[in-house]
Parts: sequence; C-alpha cells; structure tokens
Amino acid sequence: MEKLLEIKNMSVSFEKDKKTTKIVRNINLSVNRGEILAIVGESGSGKSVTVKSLMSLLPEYAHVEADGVYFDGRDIMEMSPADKRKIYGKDISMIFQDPMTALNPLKKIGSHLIEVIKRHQKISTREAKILAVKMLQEVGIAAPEERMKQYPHEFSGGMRQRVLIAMALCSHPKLLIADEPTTALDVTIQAQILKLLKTLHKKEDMDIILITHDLGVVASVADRIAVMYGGRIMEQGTKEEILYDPKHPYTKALLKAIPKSDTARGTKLEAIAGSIPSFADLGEGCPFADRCEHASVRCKNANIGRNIFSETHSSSCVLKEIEKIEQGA
Amino acid sequence: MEKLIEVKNLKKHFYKKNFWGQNQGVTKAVDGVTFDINKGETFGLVGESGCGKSTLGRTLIRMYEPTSGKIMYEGEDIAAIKKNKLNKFHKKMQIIFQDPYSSLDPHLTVRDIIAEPISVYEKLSDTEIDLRIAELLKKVGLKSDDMNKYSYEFSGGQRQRIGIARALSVNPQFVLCDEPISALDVSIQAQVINVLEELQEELGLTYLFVAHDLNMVHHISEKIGVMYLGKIVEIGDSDDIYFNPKHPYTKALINAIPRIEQERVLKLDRDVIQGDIPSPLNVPKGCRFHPRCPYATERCRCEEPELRIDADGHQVACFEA
Repeated sequence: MEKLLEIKNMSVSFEKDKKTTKIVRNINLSVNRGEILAIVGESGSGKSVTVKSLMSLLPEYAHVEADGVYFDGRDIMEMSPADKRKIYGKDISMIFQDPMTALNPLKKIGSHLIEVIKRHQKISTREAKILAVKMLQEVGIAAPEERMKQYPHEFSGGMRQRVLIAMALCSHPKLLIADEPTTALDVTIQAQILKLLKTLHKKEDMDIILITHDLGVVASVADRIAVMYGGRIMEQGTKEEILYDPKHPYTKALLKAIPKSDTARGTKLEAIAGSIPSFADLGEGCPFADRCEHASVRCKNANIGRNIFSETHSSSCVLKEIEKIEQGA
Repeated sequence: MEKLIEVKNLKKHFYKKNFWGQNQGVTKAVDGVTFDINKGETFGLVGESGCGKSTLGRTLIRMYEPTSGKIMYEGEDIAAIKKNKLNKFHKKMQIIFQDPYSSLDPHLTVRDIIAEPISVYEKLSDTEIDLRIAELLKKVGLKSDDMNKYSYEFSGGQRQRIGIARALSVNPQFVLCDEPISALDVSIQAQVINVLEELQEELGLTYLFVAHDLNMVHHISEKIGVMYLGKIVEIGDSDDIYFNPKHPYTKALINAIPRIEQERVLKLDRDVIQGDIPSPLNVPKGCRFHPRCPYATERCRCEEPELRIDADGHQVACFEA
C-alpha cells in the first residue's frame, strides 16, 4: 500500500531550565493513502505533541529528532522553512478541539474563509467569496451567504467546527489532522461532524489523522488505530485488530474500563489502578509498567521489543504471548 | 420505594435586565419539571449542553433560587424555606463539581478544604475533625497523611476524590453529582464511578447524577430523566431508557453514542439526527423538539405534549410515542 505519510523513529524532547524531558519516544507511524488513522490516548500520552511536531507547531524549547518524516515522498525534516510553509495549511491542514478559540471573534466568518483562500490561490476577493460560499455549503451550513456576514459568537459549537473544517478544506489538502475535533461537542452534534469528516474523506480524496481519547468515536470512523501512552505507541493495527483482538495489556485494560451496553448495571467497572505518569518520571522502560498487572522486572529495562502479530498489527510489550499466560493462570 | 425528593412543576427563569432594571428577555432554563428521586437510588439526568440539566440540579439544592414550583424533601418544601433557615438542608444536600481543578482552593491544604463544610455545620474540636477527615480520605481511597498536602499535588482523579470527601464530610443524605467524571481521563473515570458506588452502598446515599455520557449514566443510575430545552421529555427505568427509548429525542441521543461493541458501532450513514439544539432564549412553539424531529406532525407544531405515564411507570412527553 502506498504511504502518504511515514514517520521513522521520531522522538521529541522538551528542554527547559537546562532539564531535558523526553516526551515522545521512538515513534514509527504511517498513514496509507485512502485511510483514516486514529491516534488514541489519554491526556499526557503525547498524541498531540506527535502531530504538532509534523506541523512545526511546537514551542521553541521542543527538540525533534527523526530518521525521517516523509510526506508524499519528501522528507519534511530536510526541508527549508520556506518549503515547509508551502506544505502547511495547503497539503496538510489541521483542525482543533476548541472551535471558539481557533476563530477570531472580531472577524466575520466570511473574512476567515476568504483570507485562507487567497493565501493559497491567486484570485480576486470576489472570486474567493464565491468559493467561500461554496465551501460553507459543502460542510452543511444552511443559508451560507447570510452566514458569511456573521461573527463566530453567532454560531453554535457544531457550526463553528464546520467552519473550521471548511477553512481547512479550502486548499484541498491531502492530509487533514483533526485534533480531538468533537471532544467539545454534544453527542448528536459529534455524530454530525464525524459523518461530515467521513463524507469529505471519500469525496475530497483526503486522508485523515484523527486524534481522540474516545474509543467509541474511533470505532465508527477509523480504519487503523495507534494506541499511545506515556509518549510511546503501545499497539497499532487495524480497527478490528485493536478493538476486538487487543494484545497489549494497556489496550485491554482501557477497553475493559469502559462500560458496555450489555454489562449489567451495578457490576463493578474494571478500573485501571493508579494514575497517568508524568513525562518527567518516565524512564527507558515501559511507561505502563507501574499500573500493569503483568509487569515484571524486565518491563523496567530499555529496549522493549516489538511483537508482530500480523502485517498490520504490532505491540510493544515484553510479554510476547500474554494470551497464553492469561489462559494458564 | 420511599421518596426522598419530589420535584413539582419546578421553574428557574433567568431574566436579562437592562441598566434601568427593565426586562430584556428571559431564559427559561428549567421550565416546569416534575419528578421524584427515591431514597438510596441514583437518578441520572442527561441531555445536551444548554438543556438546563445543571441548572435543575443546582436549583434543586437551592444554590439557585427557584422561580416557582415545589421541592419536597422528606415532605418539607425546600423551595419555600427562608434563606437563613437553609443551613439545615444544605447539611443534608451536598454537591460534587465537574472540574476538580477549579473547585478546590489551591491555597488550602486538603485538611482545610474538607474541614470547611464541617466547621460551618457542626461544632467539633480540631482533633475530632482530624479524625473524621482521616477516615473520609481512607473511604475515598486516599491516605490519611494526604491531609497536609495541597490540591495541586494530586492528579485529576485524586482531586475528584478530595471533592467527594468534602461533599461527604457533613454526612449528607443526598449528593448532587454535577458531571463528576467529564473532566477525567477514560482510565480514571471508572475509578471514580466505583468509589461513588461503594460509598452509596456503604452510607445509603441518594445521588442525582448529572452527565451527558449516557453509557456511564446507564451504568450508575436506577432511573434516568432526559432533558431537552428546560423540560424533561422522558423518565424511566435506566434499562428501559437505554434499550427501549420511546421519545424521538432520547432515541436520537442513544443512537448517537459512539460505541465500541462490534454490532452496535455508530452507523454514520443512518443514525445521525439533523440540526442544533435551539437557544433557550427562543424556544420553539409546540413540542420543543419538533424542528429536529423526523416524526413531527401538525399537532406537534402547535401543541406542547405533557409527560404521560404508562402502565410500567415509563413517562414520555410525545404525542406519537
């Protein structure tokens, strides 16, 4: 399968007050053409840092190292800042969690869109306006011409997110990075936005990296899933492999902690003990070791191997055959 | 089942006033709500943001002044009590807040945070307070020496445990849980839900659990009420609402839950309901849900349906259901 984006062995560290904290460690990740990849993780798992490093959106004290970050066959790491700028916002677009803070409250919705369109295409304002109306229509905003004249505060949360998606689509990107796009929205609106993303994915031939903490969202839209914890990818595979045949103890525990519709009421939830570690406390070993019921001394060591279960499915855990151990116990 | 709280036609309206105190419009956040909460049970209240569920909860414990209606607590009307006599009730009714970061004072130690309500409602010596706090902390799964730490030394889930300990410090009968897990990570949510359930069993607490995560609400509640634009549109047994919803809005909400189970995964091509929740400043005439409802008829556009109760106690406000 052809790869649109390939990240090879990327690490990100933050250097502050002469102290270096490793945030993201040795990540290998790729997005195939025609695919929606979901990066799943809790807060402090490094999922946002990973994608922000792709867009050079990290603060100055961040230090990114990688064997290569290939987008459309070219290594982004080797590019000059000017070349990078040609890609950002054009070939790769991004939408964010909070649609209110991403829009300028003093600017009309129309001028937001026109600005983005004119940035990427050499056309007159009038032509850009026509295009902007078309974009709003495409993302499902009724009466787009009147809506162009309104301000962000006159839009509901779901509508604002639609505007952001329209802005991201103006340049017909090859890759859309959606950072928790529905977390701030209600479930019915969330379903609408997910539906929109999925339709656009097919119609515009645009691949998507979806970052989320909600495994239910992932189940309805993603093709492949990467599970992150403590700055590492714990497990990755197709949606079916991760959700219905998980191998890593963290993925398993996470799936168990969510109430299912058929768990009888009153049964205790299988909570994961302990709390999420902070990056400063993490060593070379497995970040989940302190909370893992299968943890052994080996988990604290560096160089946790990668277990390969199928062409698409792999996990990083010292226990290669957890299932057998569970059955034996 | 013994009723602890009976809410009758409760209203909370917020008035927007201009400089001269003239009314400029009214937000009917809670607009005539009637329901009961049984002793020792959890009543789950769900709905989208802006539907008035938090306002209802807060009016119920008189954090907000009700506009009209009755709140019968063990037979006594709380809504009619003078403000200076409320202390007696506030000791019985406590609240756990959504955001464990902004609801704990960073200048106070955990001991001071939990001791504050005790010193308001009871006269105890410092040693007695310390003993009680140590016990409370153990109950919610923290250590008794955590007492001398500050709230910022704890993670989100641990802070929410401190919030729970504070609510329980005056031995209330009723706790309003106002989205207590929404701000927490998935792996931590289950911990807090388990603590709440254990404490309910141990102390015989009654909860009003306000949340938008229907999966969790179904898990923790005996009964569920569904709110839309200031009104309850459906009340019923938790399993009934979850597996057999009758109101079109409840159906839409339940359908929109992103689920993991393979056979129940959200189908984006058919399960999605159109439109946004209207502003409570401008409530649609007739049934409040009719502009978004796929089954709306002429009658729904002009007449507002009332909650009807059927044989098995399920209540729905819909002409068609």
